[in-house]
Amino acid sequence: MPDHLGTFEPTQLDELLSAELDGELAAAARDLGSSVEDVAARLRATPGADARRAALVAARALLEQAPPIDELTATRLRTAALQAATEVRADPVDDRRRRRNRVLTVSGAIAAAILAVVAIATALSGNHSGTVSATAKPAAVQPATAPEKSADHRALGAAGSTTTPATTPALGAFADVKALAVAAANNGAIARPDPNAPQLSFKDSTTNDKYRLTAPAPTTSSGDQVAQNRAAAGAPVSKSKSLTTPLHGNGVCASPLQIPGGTAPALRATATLAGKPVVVLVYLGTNERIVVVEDVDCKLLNLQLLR
Amino acid sequence: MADDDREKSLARRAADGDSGALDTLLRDHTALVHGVCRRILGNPDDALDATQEALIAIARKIGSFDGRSKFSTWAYRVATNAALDEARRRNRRPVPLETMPETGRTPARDTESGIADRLDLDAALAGLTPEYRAAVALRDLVGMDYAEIAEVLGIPAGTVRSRISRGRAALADLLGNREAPSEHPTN
Repeated sequence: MPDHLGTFEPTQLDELLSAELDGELAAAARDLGSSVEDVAARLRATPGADARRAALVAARALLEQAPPIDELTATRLRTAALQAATEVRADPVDDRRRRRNRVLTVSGAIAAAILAVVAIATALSGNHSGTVSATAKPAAVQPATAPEKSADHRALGAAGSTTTPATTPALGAFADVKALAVAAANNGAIARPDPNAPQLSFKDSTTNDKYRLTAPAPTTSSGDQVAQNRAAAGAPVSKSKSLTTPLHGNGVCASPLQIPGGTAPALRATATLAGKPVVVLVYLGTNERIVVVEDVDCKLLNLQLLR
Repeated sequence: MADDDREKSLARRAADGDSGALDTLLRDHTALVHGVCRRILGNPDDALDATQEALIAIARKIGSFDGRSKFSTWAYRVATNAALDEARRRNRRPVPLETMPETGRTPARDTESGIADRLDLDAALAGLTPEYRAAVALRDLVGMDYAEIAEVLGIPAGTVRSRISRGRAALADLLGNREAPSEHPTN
């Protein structure tokens, strides 16, 4: 603030003189609420102002001198900066490559996980603990050759209800299990169900694609009838009542666990799937056919519900 | 203005990957970028570190220069920030006693010696904070006006005026002109 003589205190004097040197006095005066002329007059009235102005000019002259830097050092600094810029420009390409590789890695991991799950599921199915998959398209399935019993329930030929073919037909070679299943389901050698036989039902579960097959209380000596069917097919007859026990030899196997006990297949056939010999069993339902594919060791390979 | 247009053109080319254009820009400004860093930091080694950081930042961020300001304003803003960052890092480091600035020493009178002048400048400015020294450097070394400095430092123009005055006054005091105001005539 100016004193009573209209002069400035040292700090304010420095600030105003410094601003005057830089051509900024008008703004400084405005901030003081004064005119440039008034501030200039008061600067002239301030003792020592000219000397201080000269000192500030000298200081400014020193401050205007750039500290020297040798050319070698400057070149080294610039080279490093240019190299850094080159790396920055290269980074986006690397980022895209890294991102692409990451996607491929994740995709591969997901695919591997899916394959692992499928393999585990297949292994579990092989142990007769899997679920039934209904993957065949209805259009691919011919109408059942066997006469249907009743429209209001899902009856099908049960144990001993079919006339098992005396021979085991060979369906041929297949690369795809679906094609094999369709061919088996439509095979003309499928036995017709016996209308007088006890009825077993396939109970639909909560979804369209998954079925859990259940059976009513076992009928009398159903295991014996299965054994008879096996014998009719030329297989060694097992003394066991259990359907889970495979009967080795001649491609004749027991029904898998998914098939209700005592249910005899309407067709028992052999085929080659992907170069390996398999046994194909076809069971008849009211509106569907169950095609079971097993290997020669009676291990379940595939089970399909075809409508 | 012609220089400004030329530099903006060079900056566009540099942003597009023209390393020659970038080299030209860096070559034109290396000395003053180093000067700003040296003024703010007052230590040659720290100044070189900050200069390197500043040049790298300019080279890497050249694509973010939008051309609304002068290239030099943008570049020295980057340099100032690099130096202030270095100052903050330095404050967190222990400083050996022998490298502490001698703020109260007698100024060298040999103004013809560049080395003596620089030593005096470092000592004179050592009593100021880096933010004050930045205002002085941007004004007296780079030649920015108060509005540009206010923009770069993010402070009001009045504060810029005060800081520049403090820096110059510190040096003027060391030059020995403060102690005898009565020797000068008054009007």
